[in-house]
Amino acid sequence: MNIKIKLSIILLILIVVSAIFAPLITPYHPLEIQKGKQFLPPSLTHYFGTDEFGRDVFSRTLYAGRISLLAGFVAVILSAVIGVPLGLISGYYGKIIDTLIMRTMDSLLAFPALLLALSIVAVLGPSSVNAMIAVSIVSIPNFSRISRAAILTEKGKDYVEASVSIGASHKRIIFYSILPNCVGPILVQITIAVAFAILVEAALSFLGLGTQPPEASWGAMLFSGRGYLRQAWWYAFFPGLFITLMILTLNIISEVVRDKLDPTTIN
Amino acid sequence: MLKYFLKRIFQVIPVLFLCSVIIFSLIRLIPGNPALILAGPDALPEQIEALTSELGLDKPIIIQYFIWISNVLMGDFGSSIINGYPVFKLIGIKFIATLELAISGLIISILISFPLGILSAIKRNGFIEKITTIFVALGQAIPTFWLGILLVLVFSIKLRWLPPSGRIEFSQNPEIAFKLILLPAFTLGVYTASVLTRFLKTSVLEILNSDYVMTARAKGLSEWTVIIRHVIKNALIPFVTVLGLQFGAFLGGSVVTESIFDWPGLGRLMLQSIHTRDYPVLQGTILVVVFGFVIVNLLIDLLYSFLDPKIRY
Repeated sequence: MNIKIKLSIILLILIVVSAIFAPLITPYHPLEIQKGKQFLPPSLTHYFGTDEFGRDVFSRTLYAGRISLLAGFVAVILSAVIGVPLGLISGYYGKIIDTLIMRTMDSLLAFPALLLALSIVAVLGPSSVNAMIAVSIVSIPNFSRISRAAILTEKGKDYVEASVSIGASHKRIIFYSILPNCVGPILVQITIAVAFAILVEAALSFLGLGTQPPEASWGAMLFSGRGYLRQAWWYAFFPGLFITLMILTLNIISEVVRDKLDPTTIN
Repeated sequence: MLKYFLKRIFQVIPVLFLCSVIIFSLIRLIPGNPALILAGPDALPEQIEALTSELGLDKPIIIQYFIWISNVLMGDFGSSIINGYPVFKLIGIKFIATLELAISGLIISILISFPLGILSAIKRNGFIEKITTIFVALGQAIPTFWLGILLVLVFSIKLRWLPPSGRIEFSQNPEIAFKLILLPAFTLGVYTASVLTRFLKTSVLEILNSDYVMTARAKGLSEWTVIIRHVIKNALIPFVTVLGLQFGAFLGGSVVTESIFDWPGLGRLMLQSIHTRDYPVLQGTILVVVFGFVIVNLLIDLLYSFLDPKIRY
């Protein structure tokens, strides 16, 4: 392990832990309005300064991390739970089922990701839960494609034939025999998808279509902070920094996971 | 070759069809009767009923879809609920602004990625490679919306070099128009630039290790001749493809970028129509953008098979 990966993992853990234990770390309540303390620059009492209501930006950033990270993880789990079985079924049965599922996935992929998420939120209405649902729908096709490709290479192998010959049901063959052998690529996709999900949720919130005030996610803080760039640069700076660090570390880690699991790349 | 072309074109038709079904049903899933929204809060029940049958909302949903899609294919996207303006015309006007931004973003991403990608592959372990590695990692991690905010903070608010937002026609005042487009184009172009740089670097490295480059060197060609005539020329084909594939990132990114810089394009039109619940405009904009995206991808695919003699179908 080189220094870059070590640093990434430490940073990632720091961000996640600080979000989880936000109530223990933060000096102020994220919604605490302090009169006469609007737009204070970063200082020792307010590490990241204060916002337009005199709320502590440091506390809000850590609390926002809880929503952003939760949105990212839940969206990815949801899309994996739907996308993987669809891909497995598609690849296993082939023919019409395959065509139906994969054409639908193709047309979902035909939408630029953010546009599809936007359209879904437009239908469901802006909220953090709906943004999460939108992000998970957008992520489904990639999971289906990857698990379909994986099952296609596994399907012809001897152990599958053995399962068939002892009379195992299709369900058992797909989920007990084949799925464990497809975990590698799915795992890589999960690490990529988490970064993507956090980014899309942030983009939706930034456009005012995700998490709604006074609740804060990183994107939602940027949404309100961009209105006060002239008075308070720190307001939009720190939440954005957290998103960037999160994506950066996840990208680096997912690359390592991919190299580790892919026997064709040699370090 | 022709057979492959036709096959690819036919493959796109079901995708376009499914996309249109998705877009149509998405909008119809919105709770509430569209006639009710159109007629306004003070409408009488008879007026709403009349409007419902006028819009064909009392017909079966499949018929409604076919009425809608045949209108769309003839260029009739309906009109805006807010101001009654024909959606087709509205999209036409905004499209030019988005295209202008997308092309500028494309130019910026080429200007950055081309030298960085090639130089970092040729001069390995040097200063340029270090810069390139950092740029690639950061460019893929910085969200468009934060980059835009940072650029405004530095170049508009602190340094006061460039205006923070807006757009004017190049024909009106080229200098101001150029200053106005610089920040949004850069914001839009950085992500694509980092993807392209990374890609170009890998393909140049691969080509440098290939047999024909060894042959060219063995012939006694100067290093620069080898690089320009053999390496760059061969790296260009995949470069163009990836560039085309990034078009989707541009379309998604333009919603965010246009919102930061008040750029009056399709992205902002879409966002406005979501906020004002102007569904005909929303539906039309999504349809145009998605169809455009699918068709560009198809063209790139065809162009690729045409350009690269190694691919024969």
